[in-house]
Order: sequence, then C-alpha cells, then structure tokens
Amino acid sequence: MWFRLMILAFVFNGLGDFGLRVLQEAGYASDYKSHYLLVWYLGGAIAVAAIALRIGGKITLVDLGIGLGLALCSVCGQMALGQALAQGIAGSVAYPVTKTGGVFLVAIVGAAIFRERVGPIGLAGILCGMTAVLLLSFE
Amino acid sequence: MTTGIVYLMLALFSFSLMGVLHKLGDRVRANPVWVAALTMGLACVIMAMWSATVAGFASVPRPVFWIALPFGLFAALAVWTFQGAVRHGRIATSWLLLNLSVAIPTGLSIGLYGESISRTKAAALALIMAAVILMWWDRTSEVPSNSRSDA
Repeated sequence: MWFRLMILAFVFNGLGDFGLRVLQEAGYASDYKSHYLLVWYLGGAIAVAAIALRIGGKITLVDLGIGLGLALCSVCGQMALGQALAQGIAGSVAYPVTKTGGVFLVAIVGAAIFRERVGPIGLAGILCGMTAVLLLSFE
Repeated sequence: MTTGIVYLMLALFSFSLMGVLHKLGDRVRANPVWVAALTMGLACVIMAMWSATVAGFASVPRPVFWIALPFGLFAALAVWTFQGAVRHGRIATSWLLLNLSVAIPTGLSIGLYGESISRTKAAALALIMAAVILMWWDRTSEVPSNSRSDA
C-alpha cells in the first residue's frame, strides 16, 4: 500500500511542480509567480474540497490544525526561498540546501522523535536519492 | 547576504517542518483528504491576504489562471496521497521519495520542451530510479510493523 500511494504522490507532486515550467515557457514566470501560486492553491483546494465533502466525513480540529500548519509552512517556505534568491543567494546553493537539507532533517526527526529505524537497503536508497537531488540542484 | 542566509534557513525549516507535520498528522489520525483540502484552501487565503496587503492586488492574466488551476489540482492530490502513504511507511523514505519527484518536471521538460540532457542530469535521473527501486526493495523486505491495520 505504501509504495502504491507513494508512486501516486510522486507523480502528482511532480506534475504539480511542472506547472511552473509551463508558466515559464508561456513567459509569465517572472512577473506573475505569486498570482500563479494563489490560483494554484485555489484550484487544488476547490477540487479536493469537493471530494472531501463527498467522502471525507466531518472536519475535526486535528485536520484543521495540521492543514493550517502545512499551509503556513508551504507559503512561508516558498516566500522565504524567493527572498533568499532575491537577496543574492545563488540558486546552486539555495536549492541543494533546501532540498537535501530538508530530507536530512526530516530523516533525523523521524529517527529521534518518531523512533523510525531505516535498514541498510533504505539507507542506500536515501544516499542515492540525496545525491540525485544534489546533482539536479547544481544543474 | 546575511539576510539571504536567514531567509534560506527559514525556507529549509519551513519545508522540513512540512514533512514532520505530515507524520504528526498521521499519529493524531488526521483525515488525509481534509488535510489536503485545508492545506490548499488555507494557503490560498494566506496568499490572497499577502497579495492584497503586501504585494498589492493585481488581476490574474487569463493564461496564468488556466495554467495554475490544473497543476494546483495535481499538487492537492499529491498532499492527499502522501498523507495517506505516511500511515504505512517511514517518514524519512517517504519524504525523500516525494522530493525525488523532481524527476517528473525534469523528464517532461526534456520530452516536451526539448531541453538538453547533460551527463549530470542523466546520472541524477538514473540515481532516482535506483533510489526508488532500493526503497521499494527495503519496504518489501521488512516486517510490516509500520503499517496500521485500521488504515
């Protein structure tokens, strides 16, 4: 189940990110990124809220708290990354730090707080993945 | 430059906290579909407030609107499926796999826009394939203790 859901998340997340490349190709990326993000969030919210109203049952305070936290982190992360680039931090530094640093931090928190142990094959996968993200970030 | 580093650390902390919040959401049994809807909806409200107050609201050009809408749907589906997936697996490997999805826009850019494939890019894509296979192997070779039976 984990792998099937993760492959779906992998594909959906990749497609979600591809929109910025389409925007860039259309010539709107430099001037309308915040407008794009606003509609991007809106489109996702409307579609998934429609599904949630049919199959999701009642909203709980837990859902609201986690959703609010994720929303704040998502917007804050996007804005802070944009500001870091605007302040002169090179993309070749900013992207590897946020991508691989984030994976590394989450792995540490997973082990320290959630007591998750990763086996040697999983560790090899993490190493391969972090190297790949580093290579793509420096491209 | 120092201000830039502060912003960079803020971005790093924010993105990392998202991974932690997803796992926390699983532990407190948050409903994945509502988490996705609320994440996107509340982020939209925050962006609208920011646009109206700080950036100064301007109308959204029609092409921007029609590009953003479907890709936002994909992003929301990603939040939903990911929140469902962390119930069955470790956050470290799940978060990495989600970040590896950068292979999709990279591959599509090569296929649709004719971007060149450098050696570095090809090596990175091969490593992503290897990482996905290793994580699948790791997952199938372990005792399913992380999976919750009520999921």
